[in-house]
Amino acid sequence: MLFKQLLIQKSYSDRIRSHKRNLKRNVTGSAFCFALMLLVFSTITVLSTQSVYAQQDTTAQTTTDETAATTDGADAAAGASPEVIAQGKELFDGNCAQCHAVHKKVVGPALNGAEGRWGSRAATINFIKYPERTINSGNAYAKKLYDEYQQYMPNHDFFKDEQVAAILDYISTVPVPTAAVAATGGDTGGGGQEGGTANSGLLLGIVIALIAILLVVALVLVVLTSVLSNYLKREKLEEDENTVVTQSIFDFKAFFTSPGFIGVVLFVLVAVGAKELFAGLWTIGVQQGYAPTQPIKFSHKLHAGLYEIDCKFCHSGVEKGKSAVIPSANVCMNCHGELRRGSPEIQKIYNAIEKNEPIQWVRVHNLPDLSYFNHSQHVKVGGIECQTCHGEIQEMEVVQQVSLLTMGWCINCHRQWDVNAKGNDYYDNLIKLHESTSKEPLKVEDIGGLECSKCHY
Amino acid sequence: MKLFNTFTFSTLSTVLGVAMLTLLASCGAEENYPGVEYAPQMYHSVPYEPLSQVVENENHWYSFIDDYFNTSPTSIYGYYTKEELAENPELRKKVTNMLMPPVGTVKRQEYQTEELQGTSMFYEMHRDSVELAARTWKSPLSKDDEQVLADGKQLFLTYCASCHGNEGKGDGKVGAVYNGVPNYTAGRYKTLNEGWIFHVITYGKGRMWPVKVQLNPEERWKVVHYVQQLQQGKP
Repeated sequence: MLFKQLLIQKSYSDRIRSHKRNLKRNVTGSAFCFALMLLVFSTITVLSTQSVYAQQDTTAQTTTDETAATTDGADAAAGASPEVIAQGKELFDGNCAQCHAVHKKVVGPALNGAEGRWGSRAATINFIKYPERTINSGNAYAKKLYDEYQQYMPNHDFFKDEQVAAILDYISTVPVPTAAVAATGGDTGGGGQEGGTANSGLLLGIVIALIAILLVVALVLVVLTSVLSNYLKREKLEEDENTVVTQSIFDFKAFFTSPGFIGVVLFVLVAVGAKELFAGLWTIGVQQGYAPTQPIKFSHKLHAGLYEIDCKFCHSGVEKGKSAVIPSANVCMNCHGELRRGSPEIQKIYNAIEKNEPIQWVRVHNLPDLSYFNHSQHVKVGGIECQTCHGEIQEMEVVQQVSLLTMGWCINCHRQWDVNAKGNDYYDNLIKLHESTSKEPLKVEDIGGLECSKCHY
Repeated sequence: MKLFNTFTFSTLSTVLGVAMLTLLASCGAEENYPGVEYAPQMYHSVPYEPLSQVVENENHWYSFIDDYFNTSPTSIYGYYTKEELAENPELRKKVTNMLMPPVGTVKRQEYQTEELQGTSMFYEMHRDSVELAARTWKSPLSKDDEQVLADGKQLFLTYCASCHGNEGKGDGKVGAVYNGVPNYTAGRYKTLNEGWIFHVITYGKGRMWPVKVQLNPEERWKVVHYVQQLQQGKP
């Protein structure tokens, strides 16, 4: 009796011990999972803060660079009074700047340190006033300059000596611009981009972290259930308890073959399919999003965006005729005859000119031949900005068709757009007539903007 | 058996749906592909259309259909892709719309009517004769006409200001990298007369290249009058 009692007790204690062991295993498992989660979290936080700090570092460095550059200039300027330097700047801009830059060889040599090269201020002033005479007098340095540039600088004998001196003073105060400008330009651009990527990187990090947490939680739950069910399976259970344990929670087979489920799946498939079918059919003949690679990597972002060159400078036909005109190579030469001649992309323009071959620009906006469109009517008369139809061209590296260019798109605008009648006598009588019958402003629609034969003939 | 049937049906519809979607996905325009066109022969201009890339491509596989119906076929996508063009110089010659003008075409600059003969709207001064132009060349437009000045300002802002600056001080954004852009309001440049300015716009000077292609003589005179305002410091 006692023995039996002992046995029972032993079995109980065994059970408890095994239970404890299992529990221990469970605890270590979940502890491991939490450690993993912590690790993931801390890595993400550290990474994101690091990227933010890195960004701050670069901006800080740029500002110090800039201040360094300006103080350098200020140190050199200490010799002359600000009034003299201002006078020198005005004279330089008005008389020298078209051929000379301070730190760059343009038509003539860079003027930085010219005084040092000539040896004395008097010699420099003499040369600036009478260059041809100095060169022919046999001065060695003047001869060297002439050999290099093969032309005489015009006489500047209308200057007084102190005016030339003011110019020289001004030249010595100009700080080295290129490095500082390039650094700030590059860094502000890069900084903005970096900020964008760091931000999106942080977001991505958060999403990944959340997914990781979900996975870890799911893993923990799976481990827990498997451990518990294993434990329960090893126990001898009553019949009714056993049915509860082994019973599957969800009958997948019955669910997936039920008519309700199949019906819903079919409905979703048919609905999505029909929607996509119509959306796909709508894109036939619509070239929105077309952004062909051009033979030369011309960037509108650089030319129209950064340098703010007017669209009409190159597309000079836009106010004069039907087509806005893609510029011929000689328009490129207006600047690139002198600027950035070494760039491989610009070399392609020179090649085209030398071979007398047109540059094969790919036309982006292809309006069907069955409809007529005239740029001058819209831009010159209507006063519409290029960006209204072509999107933010000044931010495009590669030009893309932004608008639909469908008939509905045209018509919609013609219904909504007020006629630009200001200062245009042509519309005077039309406006009078229109105002006698309507209180609404005169729309394009009201002057025949929806007539078929306006565009299709 | 019924179960089997429903399964086949749903699988079939899924496969069909996916096939349909992939087919349709190729209709829209992409980076280098303008998309499917419904009626290319109505879209592509037979007469001259500036800078379009469309050409006939008679060697296409379905050209026998075109031969039969006597229609003009186009490239497989309606347009040649850049890759096709890059590989084939012959195609490039054929494809372009930027052709040489027909034989006997008269250059616009050398075209003069009886009305233009001998007026300041027709410029035949030699490019080295800037001093002569300064002495003899006179504007046909009135320099006090407000419309002339307003037009001149518009033209100046479009064609000149990116280098010369909005007020002619040589401080335009392009001018800053270009170098060698003078300040109209200072020094010798204050005193240059209209003939000189007209000549420089026409032929360029120093680092400046000619702008005569973009501006016709009348527009050049308008710009000249506006520049003369800027020389006086009146933007």
